[in-house]
Amino acid sequence: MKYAPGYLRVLLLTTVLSLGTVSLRAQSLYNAAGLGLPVASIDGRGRALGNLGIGMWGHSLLPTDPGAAGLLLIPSAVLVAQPSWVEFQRGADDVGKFQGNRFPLIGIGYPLQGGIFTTSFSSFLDQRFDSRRDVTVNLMDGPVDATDLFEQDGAVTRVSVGYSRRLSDRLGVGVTVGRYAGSVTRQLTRDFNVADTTESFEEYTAGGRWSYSGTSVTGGFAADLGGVARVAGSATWSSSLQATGSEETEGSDRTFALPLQYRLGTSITLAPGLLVTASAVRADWTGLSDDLSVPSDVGNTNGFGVGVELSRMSLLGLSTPLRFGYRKSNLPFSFGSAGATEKVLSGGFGFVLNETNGIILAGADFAVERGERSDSSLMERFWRVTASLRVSGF
Amino acid sequence: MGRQATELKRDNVRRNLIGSLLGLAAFGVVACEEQSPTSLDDSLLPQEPITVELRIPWEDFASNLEVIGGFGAPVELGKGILAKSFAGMLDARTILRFQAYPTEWEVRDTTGTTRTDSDLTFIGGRVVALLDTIASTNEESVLLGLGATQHEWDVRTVTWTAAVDTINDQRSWPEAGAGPVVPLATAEWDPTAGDSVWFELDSAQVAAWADASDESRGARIELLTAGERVEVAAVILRLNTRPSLNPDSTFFLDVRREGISFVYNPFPEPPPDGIRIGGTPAWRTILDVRMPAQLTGPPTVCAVVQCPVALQASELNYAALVFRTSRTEAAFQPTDTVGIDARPVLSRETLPKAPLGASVLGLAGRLIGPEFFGDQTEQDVEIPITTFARNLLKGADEAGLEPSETLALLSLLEPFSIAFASFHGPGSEGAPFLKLIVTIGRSVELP
Repeated sequence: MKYAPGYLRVLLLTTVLSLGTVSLRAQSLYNAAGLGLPVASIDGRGRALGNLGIGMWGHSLLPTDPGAAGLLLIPSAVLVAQPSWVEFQRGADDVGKFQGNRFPLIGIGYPLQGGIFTTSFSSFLDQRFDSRRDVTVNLMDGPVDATDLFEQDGAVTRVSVGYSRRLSDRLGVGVTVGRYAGSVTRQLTRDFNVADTTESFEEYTAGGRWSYSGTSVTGGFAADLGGVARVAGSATWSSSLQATGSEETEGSDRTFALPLQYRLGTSITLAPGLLVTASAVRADWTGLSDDLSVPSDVGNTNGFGVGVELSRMSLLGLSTPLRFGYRKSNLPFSFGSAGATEKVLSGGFGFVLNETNGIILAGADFAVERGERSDSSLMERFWRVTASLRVSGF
Repeated sequence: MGRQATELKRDNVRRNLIGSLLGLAAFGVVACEEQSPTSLDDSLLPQEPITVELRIPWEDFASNLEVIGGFGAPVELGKGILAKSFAGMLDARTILRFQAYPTEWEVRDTTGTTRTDSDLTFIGGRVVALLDTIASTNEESVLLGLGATQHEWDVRTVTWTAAVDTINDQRSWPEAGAGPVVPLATAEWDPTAGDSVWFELDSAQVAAWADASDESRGARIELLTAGERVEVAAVILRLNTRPSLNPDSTFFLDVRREGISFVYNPFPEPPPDGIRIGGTPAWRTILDVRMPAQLTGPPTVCAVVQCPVALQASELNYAALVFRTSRTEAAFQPTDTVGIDARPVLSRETLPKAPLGASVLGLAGRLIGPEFFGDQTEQDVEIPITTFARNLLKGADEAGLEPSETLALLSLLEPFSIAFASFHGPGSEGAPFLKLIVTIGRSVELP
């Protein structure tokens, strides 16, 4: 039986998976601050370990860790889904809750030309939110009530292709070139249907739709040290993020400077079945503040995460590693004068569904996070579940 | 053997577990409802747009006003009008014709068996008229008269003076007012006692109306009491019938009308400077509407955007023609709610027979109480035309077709009543104006 060439199978699988995804959905009111809320493309294992997407022991296919992809031996794919439930409080009166789903990562790695060709579809900035205000309009026959509704829907996503390869048995390097994509729609609607006298009034709408474009390049390495530890690092350079309005959009086109991002991570096996991880991220977004038309508090996304994995647990005959972690990072945009931070306690487990010679052919990972995002004016508490499915050897 | 069984059991458990996990994950993703984070924080919205009301005088938005009559005919109303010197001027008479009599009927014979009798004898009858107590003006008893027409007439074209008014056939009544008639009977109607009257007929008159091919047959009902207007909702002929299968008994057979119309005098003259809608035949008011392409004020708008600013369709929240009611001539004053419709005229050059577009006001139209054209006249009435006005601002559609600038104001049901609505026209103190509610804001930008 003849099969399609490997690269063609990768492209076809990526296309099918991309078509099957739903758009990114809102999971925070911080989407309304600045350019939105950064979304990390991390699988269930990394979430449970409090990891920031780099330096995890074993097979890893994350766009932020191209070096680890070079250490892959066989074709691999990962799909991540992430529902969350959020409660927020802003001042004394503005409280509420919401929930949403998102698919922050679809990634595929396939052996090609002595290395691993990777492609991924991932989230970068989440921008969806709604807001409203009640207004009174003075007409000649007297004042009437109306409501202004503002809806922002969209996200910045990233489509990446890369090539990673093993330089030795213990060292992998990789480069990923990404293209920023996605779009955002911003629409203001004045609704008069709140009073009997004005219910026949048509809504006023104004807004526009902008498409995002830009380029990123990520380079990184991953090294296994003596079979007991892994050290990995990566850096991402991005061009400016271009926002181009559609033909009907009255608002102007814009450009936003994106920061250089550095990541460093490690995993150490302290004892058989006991692994600890640590990772850190550094990115200074303050250069973007001049590009924002609305005065905003812009900071950095520096952060760190630590975690522990107990890999010798089993359930129903399946290897079921248990994981716990903690992560703290800054958010680039906030509402108050002080920067916003996100702190997360996490736990989770994985199921190794199929394993051959120490290579996991199929596995599922789950993480449950309890976190808090806060600045001087807004606090959010959330539960977030991350479920990822890994398959290899297809 | 035991080891194989254990392996099989383990594989079975694993398969079930994999299926359960995948199912649970899919369910969790699909079942989780999407909710957008919503905040009440003003600062997250773009700058507040401003909503203002503009009143544009007739000269700046309207032109080519025409009031055209003659739409529809009294026969389309399906009811009759009676008047005698109503409001000192209006005379109206109802004229109708009955269908052919039945030639056979199922009757019970002398043995009690039901059979078809094709030899019926009509020994008399009565004309029963159902009267509209609300639309009629009288509160006291009035006297009505029934007569039989003597000359050929056409129910579709009959008027006060014309018995027939079709192409190549115009014949007048020998006596104006659908006359002369042979008087048959009179009846008194007291609206407090009931809503119907009847006129007794003898067998000779019943026989005279039996010939359905006789174009001169017909009944004319008139009001003999002066100073009132009465509306006839329905009329039937009730035949007193003797069956040949049981000649000792009689029964009533109802014969419905073939056609009903009314004639009236005087016919209202076109208004010299006013606006008129409704009546029978109906009046329509036609005008061309011009929307302001740009706004140069008021100052509140210019404080938000640079004036002059082009007015976009999406910025128009509401547009209405505002008319001031005027007292309709007493003879034609509405006694019931007036329904007004507004439709774009699709081909102005073919007026008055121009096709009309879809209603701007929807099925319900604009309903106005009758008192606004009588005791409580001089009221401003808004006719919303937002959709029409927005189309004018949008200009040509995707197919390149320009929207019609011509608007027809007409009765919601045409014709609906002999009464019509009157409004002040341009040049008068209560001249119509265009009311616009617009919301203007700066363009929405990225943060």
